[in-house]
Amino acid sequence: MYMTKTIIRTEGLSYSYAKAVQTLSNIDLQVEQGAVYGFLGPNGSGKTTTISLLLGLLNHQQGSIEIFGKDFKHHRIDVLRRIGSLVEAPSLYGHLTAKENLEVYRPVYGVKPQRIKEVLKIVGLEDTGKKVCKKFSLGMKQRLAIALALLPSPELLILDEPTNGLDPAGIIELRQLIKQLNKASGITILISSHILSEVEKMVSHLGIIYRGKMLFQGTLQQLHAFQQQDAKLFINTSNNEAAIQLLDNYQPQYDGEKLMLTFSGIEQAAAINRTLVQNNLDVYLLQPAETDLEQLFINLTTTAA
Amino acid sequence: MNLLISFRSETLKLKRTLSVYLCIIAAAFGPFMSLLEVMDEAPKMLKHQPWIKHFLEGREPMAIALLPFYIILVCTLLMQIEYRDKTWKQVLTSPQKLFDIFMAKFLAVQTMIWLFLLTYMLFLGITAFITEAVHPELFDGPINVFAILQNNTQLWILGLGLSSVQFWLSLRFKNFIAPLGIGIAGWFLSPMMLFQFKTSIVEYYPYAFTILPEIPGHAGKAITYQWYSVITMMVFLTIAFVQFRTSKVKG
Repeated sequence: MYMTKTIIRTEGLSYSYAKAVQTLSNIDLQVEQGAVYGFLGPNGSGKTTTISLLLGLLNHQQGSIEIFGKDFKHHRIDVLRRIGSLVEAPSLYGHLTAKENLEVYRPVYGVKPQRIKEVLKIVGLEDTGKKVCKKFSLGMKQRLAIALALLPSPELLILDEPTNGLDPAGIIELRQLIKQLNKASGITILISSHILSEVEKMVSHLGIIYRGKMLFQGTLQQLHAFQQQDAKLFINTSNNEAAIQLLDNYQPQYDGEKLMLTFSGIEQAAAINRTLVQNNLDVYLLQPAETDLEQLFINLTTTAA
Repeated sequence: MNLLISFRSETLKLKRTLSVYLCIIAAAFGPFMSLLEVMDEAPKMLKHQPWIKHFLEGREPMAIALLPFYIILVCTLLMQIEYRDKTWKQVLTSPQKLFDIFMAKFLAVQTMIWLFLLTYMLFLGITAFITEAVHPELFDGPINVFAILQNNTQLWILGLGLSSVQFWLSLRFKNFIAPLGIGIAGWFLSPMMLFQFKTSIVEYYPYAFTILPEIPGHAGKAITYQWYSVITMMVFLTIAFVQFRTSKVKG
């Protein structure tokens, strides 16, 4: 029994395009209902492959995929009916207008004509008239692709690198839209990106993938806790050599003229300070290193390399 | 029902595409070129059942060159809609059965072929009216619509084999050149097999099915070639669908 309903669950998902190269290894993805799940990893880490497997664009080789509690392979149509997706570049017909592009899929999803107006309004493209899509800017195309993903009023939205090609204002707009969709309509969202800072402000859960392996999966709070485990503290005293001997348990190292050591919380920093002061050392600097999530992401993915 | 929805979706994609413009231009080309000739020689030509003669004489250029070329082009252009705009991913992640997507595309090709045949007939009709305006003594007989439709249906059935081969090629190759090149080369091989190599294999060659009934010595076997065409269609559609369904990477 699970406390919350799991929308996406993969177990031991593995895939290889060529025999010698394992693109994905044992991916256990778990996306809970109502979550905004950031699926992060550098380019070529396996994000699009995973998403392609989830949507049936690749025939899966090993492991299982369960979406809405149903085995994807045997319930492909039922599952896809409840999903809106955008995989990599916007998939739009350049010779058709925004409305016509949506009209191509409207009967496929069995939604009313009114829904086209609604989704165009949501993405701010209701006034594009007879302009065909090939004349749209990349930002407009991306927004129309999102409108297309929203057309079936999906319960799950899968967006693969949706910020690609968007300017900073476009990224902020998209972020607001995703938050709004999640909050107002309760849509579960899986959003992939190779830039943590782009998704950090909108996600509730994160999965970090690197070279086809999941390095981390959990809530943002869990990631922050994970971050604390590896936090660094900078120290500078009146006698750093003596400080090294006093703090031997922490294995301090020189970082330029100051010392650097690993600590696990603010209480430990206070204890270190006390030790130094009680041993008559003047403390000039006692500063936790600024390790933001971006740095942690880089650390995680480079340490695994 | 689902197939009809998928088919509707396919036909919507055709709006403003080269396939539609090609259908009109290619269908107009033959009748209007022959109009110039007919205007000169009409009094000598159309004596008995002039309407039906006019329409049936328009069949030869259609069967030999216009229809095969149109089929080769329309199959390639229709599939290129998805490849050019990289839209396969969206199609394949929408809730449609793979069989419906596949068949809807093939039906769209067949619809375009019918549209071409009917547009061709329309232009033949227009040229007939123009001829009649100049030579009022002609075209006073009844129009045998049934014979015209029968003629078109026969041409369409003869083209089914070729359209399924080209459909398969256009689905298999992402680029525009390969199916087009193979199609044109395939068509050129038909007269060579017929007149240069004089081989009987040509009777089983899909690119020659529309041509053969127009060639003396083969005209009597039109029904046989229609059967060959239908069998070819079944074989190549099966191959194409199996490949479409089992391809490792879709979209």
